[in-house]
Parts: sequence; structure tokens; C-alpha cells
Amino acid sequence: MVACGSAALGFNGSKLLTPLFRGMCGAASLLLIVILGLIIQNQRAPLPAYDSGCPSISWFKYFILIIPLAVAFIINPTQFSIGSLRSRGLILSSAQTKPKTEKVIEAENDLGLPPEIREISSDAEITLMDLFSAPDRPELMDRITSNEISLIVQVAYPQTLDKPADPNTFYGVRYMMVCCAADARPMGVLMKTEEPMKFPELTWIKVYGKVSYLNMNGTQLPEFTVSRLEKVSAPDNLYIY
Amino acid sequence: MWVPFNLNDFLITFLSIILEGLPFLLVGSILSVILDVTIPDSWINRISPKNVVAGALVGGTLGLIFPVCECGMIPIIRRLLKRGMPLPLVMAYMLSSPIMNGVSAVSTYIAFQGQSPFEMTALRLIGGYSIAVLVSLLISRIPLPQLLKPGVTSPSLFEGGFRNITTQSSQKPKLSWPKIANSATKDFLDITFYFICGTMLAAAFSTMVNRPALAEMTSNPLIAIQIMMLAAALLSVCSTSDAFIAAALIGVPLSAKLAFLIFGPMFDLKLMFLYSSVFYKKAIAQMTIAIAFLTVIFCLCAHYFRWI
Repeated sequence: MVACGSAALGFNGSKLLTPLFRGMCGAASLLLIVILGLIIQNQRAPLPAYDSGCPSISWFKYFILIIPLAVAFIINPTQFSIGSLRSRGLILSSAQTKPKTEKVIEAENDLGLPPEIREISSDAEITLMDLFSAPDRPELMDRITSNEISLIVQVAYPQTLDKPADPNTFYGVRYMMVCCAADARPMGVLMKTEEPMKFPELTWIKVYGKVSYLNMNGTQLPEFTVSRLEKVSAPDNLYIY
Repeated sequence: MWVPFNLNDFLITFLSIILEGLPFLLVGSILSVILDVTIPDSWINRISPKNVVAGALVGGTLGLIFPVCECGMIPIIRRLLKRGMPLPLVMAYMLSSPIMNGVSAVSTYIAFQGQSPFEMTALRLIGGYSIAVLVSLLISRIPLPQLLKPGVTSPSLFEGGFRNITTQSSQKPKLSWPKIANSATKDFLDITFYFICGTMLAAAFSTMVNRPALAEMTSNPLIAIQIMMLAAALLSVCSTSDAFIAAALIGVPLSAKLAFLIFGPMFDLKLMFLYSSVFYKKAIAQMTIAIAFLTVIFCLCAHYFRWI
């Protein structure tokens, strides 16, 4: 049981957790293996435990404990369905989640734009984070609006988000997480193409083109005009941290 | 408000919370066994003040020294009551311990990275401690015959399988690492059971709820706080891992998440059954109302005075 737990902790951890938690998860795996070794060592002469008053583990409880292990080994889920765009709400600008009167949600808004991520983008390949943070960073804004840039995103169509269908428009989407996939939020940029898009939703593509910003009631919404695009394989990190 | 259930999204959410929370459960299990074994009970007896208020104030801090999870708390408080420790002290310990311990504090701090982690952790500790002390003082005004079940004071009820603290109080504790590992594993598996059950419910809740709609519904802080308290009671999540579940609920005000983190460890469906082995139902109801009322007041203050 513990061995299975150890393996399960290592499994999928790199995909569903941020680097900080991956390390902790790995350490926990090692600790579980150490405990397993101790238990095996004492198998011949079982030791009584320091009972804390918790009820004993029944077979039903063991059955419940096996569920996540079965999930990890058999189903191996890695990325959210298109339906999660609706249930989690697509973020279209950095200001979208910022209620103007609350210090609380200002802090939450920082989730979308962590400082360490604001410092990246030293090469030509821009991230979705850069597009969102550019209105607050004039030097980045100049750079990305005056040059052709490229982005790796997933495809989502407007009708999925209950918006009017337009064959020449789609959303370029990435999921951003803080701790683990449970808190991941989809971020999207409106993309315009000359020809209708034919890729299925959630296809990974690399888009090339120019970005501009629309002022919507004081909020700077990025809009990407696609000059060309190509289908690519999923990146190693499915989520942005 | 609701979206169709999606198995794939449910599994991702479920698995990521499990993977994120398990290391903390493991560390908490090992730490609690070590502390439980190494600290003698004579020390507990020495710190029991005779004054009611002082007893409650001391009891609220005991979780820092003797961290015990909710499920392991009830047998211990029965033993403490049997040994004649003052009720306010024992009740404050019972209510605050799941919050006032290092593992819960650290897990809250890490889970709320990017969401005012220091403020959330500090307010959870302060709120948990204050509410535990106040509720224990309020409830201890009820005459004992109306509060505690008769069997609680009967020696026959204390012949269970758990460690007899009194007999070990005069002995120097003996550390056995394999025994600690064995105990920690047992506790870990037991706590993980509740963690997995709660995570399954939380993942389903997280997958099926339309968050933009929920965020609109929780725009009123009073309603949001009450909704999150209800969620905490229904989910019955362990206090060492509930922060990860609360932190993942996007769009909910931090004051409502704070209510989830304070109310849940003091009262939930699982605890309701455990409490009923010590207290009368009426006393449990009074205690729950007091906890709920004080949690709402505290979290509203946190919201409107912008403590978070």
C-alpha cells in the first residue's frame, strides 16, 4: 500500500504540480519508502503503535485509499477539457479579476501575473503572461507591439464561451496554476485569422503575428492578428506557473 | 450555477489536490506521534490553571505543544476530563488544536501563496484561538449535567485501547523509531481516508460549479461567508489539508475562505458524530451556533476592516 502510494506520489506530480510542490512530493515519496522499509523490517515481530485514538483502518478505508492510486495509474489525466473554460471562467485581461475596491482580490490578481514571470521574455517568443502584463510595463509593451511575435497556445472557439460564432476568430488559451492543477485558471487572448480555423478545440498551435491592445472601459485587452500558424506538439509544461 | 460533470476535469482536480496535500499529511502524522510520545503528561498537569479564563487561554495554546488531529481529539479530551482538567481548558484545546498547530499553519501559508499567505495564516490562528477560547468560556457556563453525558466521567468509559497517559506520566518516555513509524503510518492512512473522501467531494464541487456564477453569488461577503461555512461542514476536510481546497476555490472572497478555514476544523459532519460521544445534542447545537456566530463576526471584521 505504501509502495503504491510512493509510486503514485511520483507519478503525474511533474504535470499537475508547480516546481515547489514537485520537490515536496518527491520528498514525501522518499519518506514513504523509508516507512515501508521500517515496516518490512518489523514484519516478523509486529510492533504495537502509539495509539492516538483514531479508529482502526478497515478494509473499506483501504479501498477508498486505493482510489487515487487507481486514478493515477490507469486514467492518467493531464489537461482539462474544453468545458472547464466555462466552469472556471476565461480570463481575458489582467484587470478582469481585479475588483477595484478590494485589496483582497488585488492580491488574487497577482496570481495571474507573478513577479518572477513578469521578468521573463528575454527572447522573441512571448508568453501569454507577457501579453497580460504588458499594459503595466511600457518597455515590454513597445517591444511586443512593434514586432512580430509568436505564442504557443491551445485553440478555443467563441461559441464554447457562449459568444457569437465567428469562423475567423478564436481564443488562444493557456492554463496558469499557482500550486496545483486544482487552482489552474484559463487565460485567453482573442485571435483573428484571415482564413477560417479548422483545428479542433484544445489543439496545440504556434501562432505568429502582431498584437494590439483595445481599450475597453479602461481595461487593455490584447488582440492578436495571426499572420501564420502551425500545429505543434504539447509543450513539456502544459501549465504556466 | 452548475455545469455538467466532467470526469476528466474531476480526476485532474482530485489528483492534484491529493498530490499536493499528502506530503503535509505525512509530515503532520510523523510530527504528532513524536510530540505525543516525547512530552510527559506530568507537564500537562502542571500547566492546568485553576482560574476559568486562564484555563481557556492556556487550553487554546495547547495545540501548539500537543498537536492532535480532529479525529484523535475526542478520546484525548475524554481522558483529560476524566483526569479532572478544567472544562474550559479542555474545550479550548479541543476546538483550537486542529487550527493552532504548526502543520496547519505551514500548510495554510503554502496553500495561499499569492493570496495574502501571511495574513491568511495569522488570521486563521488568531481567529481560531479567539473563537475557541470564547466558545469554551460560553459553553462552560452550562451546568455540567446538561453538557456532558454521564458516561464521560465513568471510569468504565476509559478502558479503551488508547495509551494510558496517567501511568506513563512518571516514566521517562521511550522512543522507538520503528514504533513511531508504525504509528505515524497508521495515523497517516486514517487521516488520508478522510482527506480522500473530502477531496472527492471538493473536486466534484470544484468541477461542477460555474465559478463565475459562484463569484457573483459570493459578491455579498455575509452570504459568501455562510456558504463557505456550510461547505466546510459538509466537506469535513482535515484541518491540515483544508487550506489547499479553500485556496483552489477561485473567485470566492478571502474572508469567506477564512470562514471555511476557521469553522471547518471546529465543526463538521464527521465531528458532529464524534462530539456526541461526549456532549449532549443540545450542548453540541449550542456550541455550533456559538462557533458559527463568532466566525461570521470575525470574518466580517476581516473583510470590512481589510485585514486581508
